[in-house]
Amino acid sequence: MSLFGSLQMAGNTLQAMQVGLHVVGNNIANANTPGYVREEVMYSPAPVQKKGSLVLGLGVEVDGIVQKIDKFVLERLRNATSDRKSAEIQEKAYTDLETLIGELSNTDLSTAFTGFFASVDDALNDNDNLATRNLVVLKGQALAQDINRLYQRASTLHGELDTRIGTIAREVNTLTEQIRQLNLKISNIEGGGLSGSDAGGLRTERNNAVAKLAALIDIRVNEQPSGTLTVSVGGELLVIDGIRREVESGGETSADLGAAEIRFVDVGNKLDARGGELAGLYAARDTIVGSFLGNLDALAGNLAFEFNKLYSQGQGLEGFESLTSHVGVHDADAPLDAAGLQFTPVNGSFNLLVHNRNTNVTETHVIDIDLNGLDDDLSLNDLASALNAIPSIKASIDPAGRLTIASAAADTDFAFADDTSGVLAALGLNTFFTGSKASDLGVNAELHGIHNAAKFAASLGGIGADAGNTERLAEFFTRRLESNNGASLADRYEQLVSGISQGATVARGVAEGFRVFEATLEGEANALSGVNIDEEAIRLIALQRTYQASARFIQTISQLMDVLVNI
Amino acid sequence: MSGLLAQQRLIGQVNSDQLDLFRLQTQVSTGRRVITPSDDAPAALRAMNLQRILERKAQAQNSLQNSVLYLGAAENSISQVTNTLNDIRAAALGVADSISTPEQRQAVIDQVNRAIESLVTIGNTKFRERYLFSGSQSQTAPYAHHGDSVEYLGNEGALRSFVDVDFLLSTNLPGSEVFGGLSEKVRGSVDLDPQVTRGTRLSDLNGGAGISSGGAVELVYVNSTGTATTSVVDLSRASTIGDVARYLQNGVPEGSNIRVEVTSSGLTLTTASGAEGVFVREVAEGRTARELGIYSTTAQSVLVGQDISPQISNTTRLDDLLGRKATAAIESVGSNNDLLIRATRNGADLNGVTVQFVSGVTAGSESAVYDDVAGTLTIAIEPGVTTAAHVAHAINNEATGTFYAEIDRRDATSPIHAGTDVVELGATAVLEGGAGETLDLSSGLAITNGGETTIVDVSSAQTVEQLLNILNKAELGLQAEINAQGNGINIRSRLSGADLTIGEVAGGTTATQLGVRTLTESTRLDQFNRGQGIIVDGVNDLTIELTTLDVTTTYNIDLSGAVRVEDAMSAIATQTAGAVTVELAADGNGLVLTDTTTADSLRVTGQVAKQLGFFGGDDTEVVGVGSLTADDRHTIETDSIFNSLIRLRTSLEQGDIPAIGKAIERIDEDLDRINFARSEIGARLQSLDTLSIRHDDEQVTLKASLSQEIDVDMAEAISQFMARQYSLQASLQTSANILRMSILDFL
Repeated sequence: MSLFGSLQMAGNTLQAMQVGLHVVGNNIANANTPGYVREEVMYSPAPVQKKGSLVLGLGVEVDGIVQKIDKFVLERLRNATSDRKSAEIQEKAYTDLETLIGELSNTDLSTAFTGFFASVDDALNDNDNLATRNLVVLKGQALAQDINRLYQRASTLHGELDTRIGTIAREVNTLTEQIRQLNLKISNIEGGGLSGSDAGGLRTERNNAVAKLAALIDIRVNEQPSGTLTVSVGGELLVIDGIRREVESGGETSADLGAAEIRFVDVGNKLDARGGELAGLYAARDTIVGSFLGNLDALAGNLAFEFNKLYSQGQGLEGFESLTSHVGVHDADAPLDAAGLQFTPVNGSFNLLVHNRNTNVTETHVIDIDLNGLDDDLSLNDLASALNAIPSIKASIDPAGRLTIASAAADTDFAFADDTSGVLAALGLNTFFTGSKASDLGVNAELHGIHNAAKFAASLGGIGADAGNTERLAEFFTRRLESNNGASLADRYEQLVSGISQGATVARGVAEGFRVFEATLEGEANALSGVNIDEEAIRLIALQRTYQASARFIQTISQLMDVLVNI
Repeated sequence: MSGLLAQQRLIGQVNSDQLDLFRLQTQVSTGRRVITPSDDAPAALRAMNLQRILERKAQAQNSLQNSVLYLGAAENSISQVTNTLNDIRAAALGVADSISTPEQRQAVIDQVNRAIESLVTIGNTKFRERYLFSGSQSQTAPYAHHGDSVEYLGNEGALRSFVDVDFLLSTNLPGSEVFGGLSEKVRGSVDLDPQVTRGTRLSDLNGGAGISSGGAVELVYVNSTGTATTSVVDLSRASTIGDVARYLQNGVPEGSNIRVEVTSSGLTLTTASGAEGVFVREVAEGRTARELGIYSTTAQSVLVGQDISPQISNTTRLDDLLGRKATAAIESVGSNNDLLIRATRNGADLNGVTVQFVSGVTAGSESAVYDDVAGTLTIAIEPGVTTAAHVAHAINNEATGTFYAEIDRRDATSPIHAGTDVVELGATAVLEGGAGETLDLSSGLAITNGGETTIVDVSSAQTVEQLLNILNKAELGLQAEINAQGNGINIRSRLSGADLTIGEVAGGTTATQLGVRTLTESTRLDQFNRGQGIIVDGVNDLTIELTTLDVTTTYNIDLSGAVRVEDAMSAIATQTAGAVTVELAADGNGLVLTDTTTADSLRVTGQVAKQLGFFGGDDTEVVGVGSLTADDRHTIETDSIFNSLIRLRTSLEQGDIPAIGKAIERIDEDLDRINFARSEIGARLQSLDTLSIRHDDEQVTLKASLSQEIDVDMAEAISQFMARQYSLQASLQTSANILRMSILDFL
């Protein structure tokens, strides 16, 4: 023990307090930095010195500067962020769909449905008025366009989600690269865990990158003894120490809807995200918007085929002189139920009414649609031959597989009745709607315009005979449909909308739950890792006082030295 | 407690308060509690439903108002009719006595003419592009005035509107129910009994009741040792009875060799031998087997199904009516070589014809010969080479065209192989099952509907519809249609003021077979002379005198017990001891009195003779040789105001006082009908009125329910808003206080 020894010890204390003051300053400086983890200086008593039987303390020693962090809370926070993000994306998809549908407003699809069927009802009230018949066509167009538009907008939403999925690959790569580099730096600076200090700023930076990555995909993070992080997702490693795996966006693009997915470049596996924005996007795109589009398609197809099945059995105020089917078959020699038609006809028959305008005489011809599956099932060619066997009717098939029926006599026209096979609706002969999907639903162009309004097939008892078909069509919306297991189109539409509303309610609840949970965890993390100015101020004072005391100690030693020197 | 945590908490609190304030503000400003359906999904779903019902109800209310307009317009028109008819009635009563002068009568005639014209105009009233009284054919003017007759061109249908959800109400009354215009039906008295063919649609079976959809049956096969095997056959895809037979054939229990045939009356299932049996059960309490007529509870070696009598449809072929065609199946050993043979005409005379093969030609030039004396159809074939298809071709080209052959597809191993294998020289078959008669289409119908008799040629008709089309030609003034039971045809007159007679042409049987003769043996005598009947008073009835070489034999015929024409026929034959017989005219219609004693002359006198139509006008007798033909006095006429007025006019012109009286009675009947129509319309209008009030009430209730589901409770929303506002203020203030506090201030 010597005065110099004491002087040395006091000098060390000054330095240690300076380090402490620096850390406090740094903490205060970052009091409002998001993600900043409060640091603390770890002091410990310096090694002791034995002097005779005495053991003397040699002052203070700085062990290191460590971050005040609870890694378990951080892990849970990251998971919560993943979940929240996924739920929020789904919530937004539902909300967007709900806004698109606009139910409970006066511009929703159900209003278009009601408007259309109300116009059919008006045509029933005023069977003789061409303008009301034309209105049915116009309202039908409006309905078809509303459905087209809804589909288009929902598919735009689908496209946006798909595009977003595509951009996530780049973000993931950027973040993993950042984590990789920081891994290296941290490992270098911390000396592979040998130094007692944390590479505070770098760690914060890395934590922030990891948090961002967790918002994208549900990662699992493990810290290695060397201070590096291992990041994995769904059992596949993304980053290990200084190595990372590159991901890319790819995937098949089906007919009109994108189906992008994120894959690992090296092995081509799909990145199997169960949480985070990516999982939310997958779910929103495929399950929420995708199935909405599918359901809307099915609804439109159901409307088109079932309405047409009834409609095609009716007759207008005048017959057709020539009519071409809207839908072509792939193979005119194949049975009609296997000829590639969107809607499948069944075994049955229809009547072709050949009408002479001069004498107003109608002749009925039964056309058997033999699809009993036993032998010689009817092909489009057979159908054309059966029609050609009727005098004054000519039937032909064009290269696109479409059937044209024409009257061969000058004063003859024709109409259809009693189709039990659905073949007219399937081929698109004497139909109201065209198309089979929400995107291509339309109204038969042959009915457009007031000059074609007389073709509206209102009658069931023959050309211009009555309004029996309109009676059936007017109540079609709530009519029970065999093909829907007894549900009506109205039921089906309600199911579509309530599915979205219910989904939206649930998704909102789930998202809200995750938000609250995340906020709680964030609070927990902040409570530990955040900077409290008051605390730092108190620490500042304590350090300052220690510094002052040490300085006074030096002064005292110095005076003692003076005494010695002046002896 | 870090600074960041404090900030986060405070920001969270303020955010949540502000969001709530914003939500409440939206609720208050829109008046809606549920802005988007997800705000309250169950309530939104109920609201959607309510909204749809409201929209439909609003549309129904529209339709209702529309119906009121149409019915109101019809009521206005009809009220004018009553006035016109009452005027005519009063005027006619004034001249319905023998002291009226021709001038007075002429004045009434003029009035009647004007009335007819004005009533035709009323009948043709158009309201908003619609003829009010033409049934469902609202684009056709219902009445056409031809001078001495008025034709009804509408139908008996009605146009209907949905005046409430699922409530269709007729918005018009057809003219036939108001003014009249269609005669009583000449009811087809004959069941035309259409045959079952392979192409008969299931929906036409059982008189049009059809077969329940989606059915299945269970076939039970009992082999010669009494062991039963079963199979369930799904018939839900079948459309025709031919399909049913094919599905049953394909689905017979394994190893059973049951053959399923479509006969002219239904289905027949035949086992391979008499020792085996088959029966058909229902599946799960269905009705399909019963409806197909093949339900049975005991095994039979031949299960002959019941007659599943199809109804007549427009496309029923006329040669499928009134009888059955004989059929046979020639089966050769092996597959792809069986044939089905069917006679081309009805009747039992082809039963027993044997179909046989003889050798003698080279394949490709097979020929068939029908020998009607021997009762054989012989096909010359080249054994071992000639295929079933060759044979079918030969039979279908047989000179007399009596038979039609087709390949039996059930025997085919695959569709393309059907009929491609050789027939067996020794195979034979006997035609059976033929019955009934063939409809005489060559003769035609003699139809008189006011004026000249028209011979209607129906020989070109092949289907029922073609026959009806011929009868419905505009110039005949008829309405011909399939009857409601679907087993015959009805003919009615559309002409008011004309008498309709339908009879035969030159000994033909067309009208009788179709059951549309106006006068038949079963016609009631009290229906003669437009319902005035035959008045037998025992004084001046019917006297028939046969004179040969100045010797006259007189028969005073007493018809007092005769109710129908056939009774009168037998009374005359009996009371003249067979010297005189009465038959229906073979040409045209009416009665023909024939002298069987070949007397020099034949004289008929008496009031009854006149009423039976042997003479008319002011004549008192008719004299002839051999036979005397009477007019048809069972003519059909139309019940309509036009008919009554035209009859009134005719009787006024002829000064026929009793007829004027009759015509006035008819006008009374017309007035009854019109009043009935008025009250019918009145009742409908009244029910619409009630419905309209109910609509209004319902609308209020529905709107209230809707409001309850989605509208906001203002008081609640505003008080919540205030509460939130205070809470936000408090938050802000406490935040400010907390953030402001720092230990640094005290250092």
